[in-house]
Amino acid sequence: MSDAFPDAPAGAALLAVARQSLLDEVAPALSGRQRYVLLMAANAMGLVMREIAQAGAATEAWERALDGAGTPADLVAAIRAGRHDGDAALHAALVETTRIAAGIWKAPG
Amino acid sequence: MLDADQRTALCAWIGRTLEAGTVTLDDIRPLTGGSIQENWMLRCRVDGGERGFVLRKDAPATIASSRSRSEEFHIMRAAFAAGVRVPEPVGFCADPSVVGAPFALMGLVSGVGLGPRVVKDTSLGGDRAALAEQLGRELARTHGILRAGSPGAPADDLAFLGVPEPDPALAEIRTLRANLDGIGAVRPALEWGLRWAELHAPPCPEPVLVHRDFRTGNYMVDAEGLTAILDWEFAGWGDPVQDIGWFCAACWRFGRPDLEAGGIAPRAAFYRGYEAESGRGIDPEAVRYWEVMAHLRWAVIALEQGHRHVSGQETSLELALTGRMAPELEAAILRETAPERWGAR
Repeated sequence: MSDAFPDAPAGAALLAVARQSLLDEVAPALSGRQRYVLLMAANAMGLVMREIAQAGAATEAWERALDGAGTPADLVAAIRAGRHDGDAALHAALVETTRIAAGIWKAPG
Repeated sequence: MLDADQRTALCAWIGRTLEAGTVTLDDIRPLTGGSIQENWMLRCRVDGGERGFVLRKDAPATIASSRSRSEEFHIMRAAFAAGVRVPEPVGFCADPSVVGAPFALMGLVSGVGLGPRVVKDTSLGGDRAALAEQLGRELARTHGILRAGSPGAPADDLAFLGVPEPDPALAEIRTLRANLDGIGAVRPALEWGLRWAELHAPPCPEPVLVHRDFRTGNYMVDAEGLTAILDWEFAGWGDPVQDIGWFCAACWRFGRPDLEAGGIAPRAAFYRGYEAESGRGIDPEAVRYWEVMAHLRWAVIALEQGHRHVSGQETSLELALTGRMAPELEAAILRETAPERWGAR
């Protein structure tokens, strides 16, 4: 969070404590569908926490993947047209964007 | 759920379908599972005897590639006739006034279907190698269903499936690209995989009826073994190896990556059942190709599910989260389609 917004705890840290409170204090009292929904909500909150933490790295990785290719839609069109067949540099860049995004979906083990 | 008039109409329809004198509805409740359909469990008294049914109708939003309840019902009827273990197809009601939408009625089958539970709870499903072998045989029977006009084919009512694509893999790729475009999804990693798949598509010697969602999570088991193959809504003519790849793909093993046949058994058991029943050998390279396609297709479906939420069509945390799982599938696709795998075609 930028210095212009000094209120603490900010974004991810506030979500972290909210998530932990739900898991520690609410989840044990629930069962069935209600517990399932709470666990999904906690999962979504964890995902957003990781998304906030990885925002800078994700942007940089996308810039590398798009290097000279224009917009993401331009890159898609170029891949479909066969202009990146077996392109090792693009593959490496996509592995990196995907690694970051997959780590946001599920915390790396 | 149903008002008194609808309950009366439903009982009357069941009575006509079964040619029964009296039908009363003792219990009706929603079943969990099925994010594309609404499923209800019915307990009825038919001429004094107890009967259980499952009623399936469309949920508020459907995804582009799923078939109507009517088509699904006719596919299940063909599978039932071919000896595939499916719930008994009882009847189809096209009249939307009975329960608010057209519906299919099937016999109630007991068992557990939830993928993670089937994989983890080894008190279910009986001997796991035997279960995988039987699933292989069931799939082979499905793939033995012939098109009208094929030698030995019965008069069939699957004409709505259309003419098979001569090149099912390329047709699938066209569909997946169109589905991505349809929801405005811009996914370079998926496009990378689709382009690889386009250049490496294996020929399909003989299109057959493929289930297209044959995996752990879509069959039910009890303590002894298999009770039913479910979820026929994506079936159509295609490459039989597509179903084998879908069943074995790493994304459908529910936390048991070591058990390559759907998280329940080694691959060999599944292949053994399939090869024995079909009399056809399985080409491991073709299966490997279709496992990449499985990840591509599941990623596109996950994005479509997420889009149902994002578009405002159907607000759902479950759908929203499903839409976010695509990167994990993309990571697997990129591993299997690295630059060194672009040479051999």
